[in-house]
Amino acid sequence: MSKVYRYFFLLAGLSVFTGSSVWSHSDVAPRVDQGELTNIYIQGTYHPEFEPPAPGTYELPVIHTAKDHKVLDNSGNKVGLFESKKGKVAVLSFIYTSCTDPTGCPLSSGVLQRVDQILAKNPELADKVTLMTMSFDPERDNPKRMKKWEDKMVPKTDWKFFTSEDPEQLQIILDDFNQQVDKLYNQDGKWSGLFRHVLKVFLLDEENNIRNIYSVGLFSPQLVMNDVETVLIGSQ
Amino acid sequence: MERYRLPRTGLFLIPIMFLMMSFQSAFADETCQSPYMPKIVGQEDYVYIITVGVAGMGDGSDKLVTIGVNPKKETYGKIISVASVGGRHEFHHGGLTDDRRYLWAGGLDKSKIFIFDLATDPANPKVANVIENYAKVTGGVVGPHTMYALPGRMIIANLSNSKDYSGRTALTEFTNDGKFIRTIWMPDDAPFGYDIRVNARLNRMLTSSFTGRNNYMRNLKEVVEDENAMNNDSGNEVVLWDLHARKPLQIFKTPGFPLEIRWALMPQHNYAFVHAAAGNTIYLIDRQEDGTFASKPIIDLSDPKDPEKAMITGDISLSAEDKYLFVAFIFEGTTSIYDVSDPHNPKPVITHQKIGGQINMISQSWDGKRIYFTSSSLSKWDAMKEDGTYLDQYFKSYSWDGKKLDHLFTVDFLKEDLGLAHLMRFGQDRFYKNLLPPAE
Repeated sequence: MSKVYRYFFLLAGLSVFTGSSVWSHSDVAPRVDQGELTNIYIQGTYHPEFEPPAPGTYELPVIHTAKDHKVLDNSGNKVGLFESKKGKVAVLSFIYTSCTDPTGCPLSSGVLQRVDQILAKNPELADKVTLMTMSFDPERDNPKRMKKWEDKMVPKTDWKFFTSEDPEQLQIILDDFNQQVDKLYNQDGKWSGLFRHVLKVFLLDEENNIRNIYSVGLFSPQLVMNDVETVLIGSQ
Repeated sequence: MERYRLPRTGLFLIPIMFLMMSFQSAFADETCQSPYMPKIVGQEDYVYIITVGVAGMGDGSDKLVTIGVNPKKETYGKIISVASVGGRHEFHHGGLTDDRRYLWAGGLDKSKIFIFDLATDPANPKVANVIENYAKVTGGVVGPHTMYALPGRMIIANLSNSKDYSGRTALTEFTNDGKFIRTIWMPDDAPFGYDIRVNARLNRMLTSSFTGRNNYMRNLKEVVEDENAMNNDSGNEVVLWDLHARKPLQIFKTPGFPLEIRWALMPQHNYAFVHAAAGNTIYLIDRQEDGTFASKPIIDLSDPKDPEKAMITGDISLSAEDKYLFVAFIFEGTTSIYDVSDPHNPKPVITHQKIGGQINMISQSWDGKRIYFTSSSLSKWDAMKEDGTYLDQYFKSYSWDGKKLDHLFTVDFLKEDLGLAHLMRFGQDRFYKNLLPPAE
């Protein structure tokens, strides 16, 4: 089976796994049409059909320099986001564990899991990279839940999981990364348990500059890997 | 202790999830948007119209006009608000940011970009930011034309440069809050710009070509009679790029001002349409078996009774299921609709239905049931009456059922002292209030 389709089925399986974890909770309004949540323009089943350009053959200019922020690790300790990064290149994904949009958080987690597996086969490269998953749902995604999420992802390399102390602290972080997140409400005004967020995953260099922002339309494990190597080549 | 268990029916969920991911019908939004943006689901409430100011008409300024288009609301068919920017900049095109919260609108004359806040009060957009020093920050690029959302950024296809105001130009990138990122000059073999559209699945981007400020700010008759302008400073190429690397891969010769580009939207459809505004042709740019693309003329737009006559086209619009291609004929004031289900064998469905005295832009809802038209091309190129006043300027709403295009309402932009109506973008209260659609 081609790499594209192996990735594709991994995504589908992860979507199932993620979906089932949500259905075992009462977080999601039961009458929400899943199709309505997939609200981006990508139609049908998304699978990239391209070979990413080779590392070092293109530029990734600085988009924005992010500030360091205090977050909670999955032991409940307050740590600095970049302290955890320790001068490495990082791939940072904002998710929430109750997400049911197959082209949102499940896609992000699936790609990061694959990146983690690729890195695990290249220890020298893995030493230079940190993966970070940050929840934007601190009300439900407490450190204990993020620990469970980490256990699900079965990280093989330096992959850290964070949440925040409260929505106010979270908003400062989201504003810095320009990650728009909105609670979605039912017609009766009650929160549905869901968020609208256009998927964004950030590539940061050793100096915390954002060098790329991925979204559902341009986000594959190999693309991320090539970008990581491109940044590292540029640093040498 | 919580446990995450795969239900016993888990294996059967896989095809169900595929089905869910595949089901994408019955939504409402324009079909020519960036793939990274959220769609508006259901009926749109507003159409925002980027409008060029006219001296002596109302406040004479460029503006963003908001019109109610939801038939269930009292504001249906009415002007709800007008956000003037103070001054005439030759407003033309614009684009929404990837979160749909802001609409960027660019002036081709003075190269200012006005960033409108749509999210705070979608019925009353306000200017939130202005990029004033465009030529300086970009290293000499002017004429910001298509503004297109990438994740966390805007990429802009421009028309000209500040050195000689010819069509030699570049692509530029900014963060969503207006901070400059980089300039990428067009290749030497295809130095002009106009539109930019992305196919994320294929990692490909197409750009088209027009002309420089020396020409687009001149009277059309002068430009047409200027041999140098027509032969040496006019666009004839479409460029295919590696999107991620921002590197040109192929250049297609598409004579006659190739302007609007529309990628097919359905998965497995690896092609795009481009109209040559003065070339009487729609081109199909189609992926080949070896992964390269090829361009060929696919629709002949010439008048059978007068094949030499230039049928100037202003816009094309492709329906969400890639079935209908709408074409606007500027000076005929008509639209033709083609069935492009088989993109290699398009079939006319409607030929030259009269919309107005002149026509330019077309926007359609995602479900394809509502089609909107506006009238203006450029302030110095729009059709005039003998007394020197504009022929007509409008926003028109139509219904489309696959066979008939029926008029719903018109807003007369001359009568309302608004100006010249150009690009349209949609808005919706429920989207900006973060409400889920009602359960059916």
